[in-house]
Amino acid sequence: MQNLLEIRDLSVKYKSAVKEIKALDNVNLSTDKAQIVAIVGESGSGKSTLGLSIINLLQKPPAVVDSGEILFNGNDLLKMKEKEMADIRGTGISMIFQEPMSSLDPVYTVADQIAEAIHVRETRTPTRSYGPFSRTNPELKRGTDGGLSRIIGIQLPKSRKEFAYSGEMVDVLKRVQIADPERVLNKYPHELSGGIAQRVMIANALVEKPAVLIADEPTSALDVTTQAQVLKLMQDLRDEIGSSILLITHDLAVAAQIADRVAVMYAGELVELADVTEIFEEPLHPYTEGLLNSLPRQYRDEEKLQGIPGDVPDLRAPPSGCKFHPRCKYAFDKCPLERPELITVKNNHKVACFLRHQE
Amino acid sequence: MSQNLLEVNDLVKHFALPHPLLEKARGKKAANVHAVDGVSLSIAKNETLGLVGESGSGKTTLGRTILMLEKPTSGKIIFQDRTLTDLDDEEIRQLRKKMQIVFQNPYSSLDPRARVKDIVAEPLRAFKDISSDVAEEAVIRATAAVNLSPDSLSRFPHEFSGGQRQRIAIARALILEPEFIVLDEPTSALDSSVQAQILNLLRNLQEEMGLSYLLITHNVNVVKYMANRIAVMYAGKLVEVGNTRDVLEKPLHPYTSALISSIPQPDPRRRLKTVAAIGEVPSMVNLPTGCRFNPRCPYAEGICRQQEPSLREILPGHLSACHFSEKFQ
Repeated sequence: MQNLLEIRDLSVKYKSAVKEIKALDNVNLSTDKAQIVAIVGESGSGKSTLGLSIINLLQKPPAVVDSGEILFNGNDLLKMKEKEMADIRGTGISMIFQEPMSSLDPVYTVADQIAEAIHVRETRTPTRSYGPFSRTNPELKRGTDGGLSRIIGIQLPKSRKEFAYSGEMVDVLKRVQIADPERVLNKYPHELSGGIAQRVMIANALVEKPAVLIADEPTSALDVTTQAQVLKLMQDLRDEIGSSILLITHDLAVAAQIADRVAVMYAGELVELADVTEIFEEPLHPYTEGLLNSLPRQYRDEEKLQGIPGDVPDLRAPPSGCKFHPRCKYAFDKCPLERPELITVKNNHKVACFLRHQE
Repeated sequence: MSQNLLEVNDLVKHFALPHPLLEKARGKKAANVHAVDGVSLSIAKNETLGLVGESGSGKTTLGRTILMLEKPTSGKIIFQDRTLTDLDDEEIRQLRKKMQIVFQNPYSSLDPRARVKDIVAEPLRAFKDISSDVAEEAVIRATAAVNLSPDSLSRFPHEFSGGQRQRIAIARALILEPEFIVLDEPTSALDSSVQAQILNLLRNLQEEMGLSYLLITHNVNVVKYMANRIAVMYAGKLVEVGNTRDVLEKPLHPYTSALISSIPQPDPRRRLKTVAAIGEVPSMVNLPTGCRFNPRCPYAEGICRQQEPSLREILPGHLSACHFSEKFQ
């Protein structure tokens, strides 16, 4: 059976005149319809680079795709022209980011931005490649009455598009638990709190009904009470629309909450991939094990945390062989010499560790 | 109550908002941000008090005001039996030797152009009359205490990872041999594998040097691991104070319950079921009348909208500011 999204042997590096950083090293990952895959890793593990590669928003240069393919419905995204890719963004593959404030356009109201998303879905003609200045289609000019009407205090007639979509816009904001949608619709992003802004981003994703949603640390900037609500919304998106979600996070607890499968990344490599209960109950890679042990769960008077000694490696000069070997308590003579492959060791559980391959 | 190293009584810190011209013309008063609004707490020697709350609850302002880095609007701060709020600047400066702070972001709290040894020695230099030999020795001791290798002393901050930088910041806080340290989100900018190292380091240092901590964080699991007691802050006020176990296992305030029930656990078999608190932290300028949590509280009744509950002792050593705390026992 063909997977909805399949990443094969993807290698990406960031290159400058003086240095080169291997951000992704031969990553293989696939996801099915209506599946939530969490990509877990620490800073520098390459998880955000992976997300940006899929939606083809890597800044090139400095990024260079060395090798690999990203198949979406069987077509290689990396070979597509920008125009074809733009057709896929939004309804095919959509992305939400950690900082909702910086991913909403500051000069348009919430209504403008949701109306655009609905319009894109309805017409599926690209209005812009990326960024606010490449808009070309004059028919899709967004309404600007939100701001003006508030300055002069008179409600101007809404733009045609906003009028047509206003019902759906209110509905979708209610869906994401915004209490007073009419008021929020007329606001500019800077007037929203972080939690509301992230909900608007998710509302955008909801109306676009993407086949794949990439969520890059969607809750890291939010408070826990808001985080719980946003995670619930992402689950709804999967349950109701059947979107498959790639959840990029540094927080294992967030992954445990909503993921079906978990991919653990370390220094640009995928080191372990398994179903969510497997990975939390029987982690096979020493790094995953260490990561789980470094999460505080106990009280002060109980036993001390284990943690992982050392630091995340400097990717300008990564360790040889298995990149985790300098921090690994099980490392043996083979580890610094050879790189372990990601191999299935048991029921759908893949791990890149010589220790487990020998068993 | 001299066994307490630090005592804070009814501390208030308001920030005045800029007065818009139009409002002024209409004769309206300038609005205040009620960042800290009547907080009382105490910290014993060798104790860690964990201060938890969401962003905007005023926890960082409280930490800074306790150290007199912000001038309190009103209230009393008593440190080692001396009332800081009555002292002049020079006396406070001298007392600062005993009170230090570690900030959240080790990328911005270290001078990028100074070498590690100078960063760590900076507090010593602020209190001059110390010879360079003594200073060097102190730097070596402080950096050794945080497990930094001696060869790192002449390097610059950018050569270090986040965890190492936070060690440098901790060494700087330790060099004057303080008795009390405010830890303001000390591990929030760090990766989880490194967070564990820093938390253990802080606990070891506390044991060795008899330190007291005020640990400010939004991460309840960190507080659980670090603190003897917890204070929960909401919209400028403490809503619950008590022993860590009591507060986390038998919360007496609906906000604390909501906070605890929304913490995701790293266990796929224990997924969050209901989404507790709806809505957002209130505006700190126009606070709700009565209990500040009432617009989000599932148990709110008439009295909650009229009368502000005070923080009172419900069970021995366990305080809560809710009209109905007895009900939640």
